[in-house]
Amino acid sequence: MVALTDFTKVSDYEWEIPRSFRSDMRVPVRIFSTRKMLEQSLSDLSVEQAINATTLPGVVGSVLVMPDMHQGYGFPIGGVAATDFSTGVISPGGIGYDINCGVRLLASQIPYENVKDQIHSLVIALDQHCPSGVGSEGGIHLTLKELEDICENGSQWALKKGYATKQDVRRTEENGCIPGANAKKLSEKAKKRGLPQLGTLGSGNHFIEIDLIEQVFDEATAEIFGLQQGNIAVMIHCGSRGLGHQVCSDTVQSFQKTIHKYGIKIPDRELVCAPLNSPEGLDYLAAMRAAANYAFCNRQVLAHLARKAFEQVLAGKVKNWQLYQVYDIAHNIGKIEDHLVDGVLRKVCVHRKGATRAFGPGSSGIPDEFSKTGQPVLVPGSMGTSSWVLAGTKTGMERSFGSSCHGAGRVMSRQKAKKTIRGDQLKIDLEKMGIYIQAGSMSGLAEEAPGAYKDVDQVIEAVNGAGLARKIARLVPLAVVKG
Amino acid sequence: MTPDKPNGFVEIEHTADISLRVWSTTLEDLFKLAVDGMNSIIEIKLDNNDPGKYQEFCIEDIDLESMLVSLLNEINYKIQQEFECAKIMEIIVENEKISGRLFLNGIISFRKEIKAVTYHNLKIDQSQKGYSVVIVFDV
Repeated sequence: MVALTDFTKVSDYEWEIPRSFRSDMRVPVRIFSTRKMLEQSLSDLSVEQAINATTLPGVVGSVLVMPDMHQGYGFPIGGVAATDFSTGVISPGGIGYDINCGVRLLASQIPYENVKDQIHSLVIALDQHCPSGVGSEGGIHLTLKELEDICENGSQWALKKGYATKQDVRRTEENGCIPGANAKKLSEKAKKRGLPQLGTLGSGNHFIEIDLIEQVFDEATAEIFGLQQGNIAVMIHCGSRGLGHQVCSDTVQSFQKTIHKYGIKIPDRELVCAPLNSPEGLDYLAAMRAAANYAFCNRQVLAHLARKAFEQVLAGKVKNWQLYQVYDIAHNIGKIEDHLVDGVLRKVCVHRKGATRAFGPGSSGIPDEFSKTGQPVLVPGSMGTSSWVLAGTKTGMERSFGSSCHGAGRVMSRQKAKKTIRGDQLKIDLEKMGIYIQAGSMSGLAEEAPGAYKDVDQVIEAVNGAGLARKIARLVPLAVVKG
Repeated sequence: MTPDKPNGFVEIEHTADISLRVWSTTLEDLFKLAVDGMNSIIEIKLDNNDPGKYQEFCIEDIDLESMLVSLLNEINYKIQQEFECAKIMEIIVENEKISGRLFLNGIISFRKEIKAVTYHNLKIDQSQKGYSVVIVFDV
């Protein structure tokens, strides 16, 4: 077990476990956190999992962990690890089963005061338009050719079909399409799972939320992002559904057989990996990108359906009821990026597992309008608490491979949440707070109760304090559709 | 192992996902109970009007743990994609091969979506009392 005394304090918000801590570590672990949250994190296996990730061949800099960290499988949730593109590996467990699970934020010019009596109608319409829950299937029936088109072209497919605007696509990480995706690298099972699920939310912690922009911290940047205090916004959290799960499962299984031929030793089989430049590594990269593109397109179709719901309720009654895309980001992904490592520019594969890309001002790969502000970083809260919009910083580029936190981070197991919280009572309590809930399952709702998560505001204080991202706006929930 | 029963499964604490401890006196029962345990987590409502059907299975892989993950992922796929719940009726466990017969029953609904069966710290342990394993499911 790791103790607080094993850490070296770098600053009030940064802690290091040196490489000498364990003989198989290749690089140190750096945790961005307050002392209080770090102590809390020592109660589960998240720190050990970060130490395990430092053993991956070709890992560079440090393995980084964000303040919303908690125990996962293989990597910790909140983990960031960069591996050298030429000599390093790619680990599907370091990206996760829900490939390109991510968040999209849609802003509006709708003042809350003008629609506060229609929030309930809006959430019911969102629930009706956006399929959610276990095994949910969408209203779009794809052919195999269309599915392959989506996997290789992502949100471009949605643009072609009228489900997206040009601004939506431009304001999506990678313009909604990671180049190098190859649908031929997907198994038949993955394709079969992807066919009926486009435009669906799924279950677990996925949601669509109507928020009020309660507080703006930087008006100039907020204006560029399209955020105005007092207006409402819509946040969508979901990923690549069964198609992505299958890609990761297929690869973790097949890599178990091939890892030995590369002489790679790992402390946990979930960290299984392949050299990036090997046939196995390249095949996974192409399949993972295909799943990521499916996820971009999935959130795009959900955004289209959310707009339909808003039109149904507000058109003709409220002026300017349209929803405009702020940004769409991935928080379970592997990306080939250039970063300075010990003063040298290196091409690396950045594994972000429950961590958000947070590119700062002047970075390539972000829309022109964000070139002076840094990209929007979207951090959802936990149904009853705030969500945040941050902006990437130059410090983040230097200290965290341009990465930041992805949410509040769980602190209570689902089992304990179900035992201590009743879903129906939680729904009543949230509605008393003015938050409408549409949920398919009351026990599923209990598992996702705000009390099962860390205090998101403390997580934000830590990333802001460490300089990884800066505060732009704080949002509070008005209504939630839970998957 | 838990002292009160020679065979069983129980959900144990995990911060974000679901962890299942399975134990039994024989390897064959360990595989059967792992499937029953996963089905229990998913909370499946069976279609009682479906007469069901039998299906042979055979999985070859590098070790017992890989065959366990492979079997559970296959059964999870059947639940999510084919709306069928599987129970192991017969199983033969060899070093690098498991084979046997499943009983498949139609499903009306299920409550929990398991994204994947993971290899996280996965090790089938053997002791004088039998076998045990802890399986982490991504949910």
